[in-house]
Amino acid sequence: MKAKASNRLGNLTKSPIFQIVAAQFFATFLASALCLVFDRVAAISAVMAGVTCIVPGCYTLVVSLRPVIKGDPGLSQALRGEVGKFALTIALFALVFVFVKPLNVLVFFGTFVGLQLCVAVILWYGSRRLLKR
Amino acid sequence: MEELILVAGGILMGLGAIGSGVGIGVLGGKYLEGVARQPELQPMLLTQLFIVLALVDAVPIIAVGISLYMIFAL
Repeated sequence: MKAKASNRLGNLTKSPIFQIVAAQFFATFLASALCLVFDRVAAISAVMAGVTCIVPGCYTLVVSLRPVIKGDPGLSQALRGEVGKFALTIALFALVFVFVKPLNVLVFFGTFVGLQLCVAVILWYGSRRLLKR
Repeated sequence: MEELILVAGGILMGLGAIGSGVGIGVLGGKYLEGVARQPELQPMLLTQLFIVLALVDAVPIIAVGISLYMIFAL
């Protein structure tokens, strides 16, 4: 039982999607700390952007780690993950716009776009590492 | 003015959806092609598919976010 759990944890940390979510978490921390120097509302907006980006990312991570049935190409699993991520993101956006007031919109969207760009950065870093091999 | 904001939000969401729809379609087709050619690479390809799907999805998600802001907060 313990070995199975540690194996699962090993799979989780080795996944590139986990690396993306971890990078996004770190970027959120950095952005909110930077904003806290200037304005408290901006820092809260940066944290909200982080939550809006990281929670759907965690859902995608969980779906991607599910074992694939033999013979199934796994496309339905990928689509389920993406649709769930999209729905969660939209729900979180709506919740933030309705309930979080005051909100610094510029910081919110700036942080959100920056966090989405983390995916491109991780892809670029991974391809560079592959080329070096 | 409010009607125009709603129309602008709808156009923003729709155009983003068209782009991502084409992208996800091409991506899914290429993934199936790859799995059919080399089934032993399927787990690696699936992880890569998830990552690139996230990249393709980023633009419409941002568009939907901006349009939701226009609809709810403006």
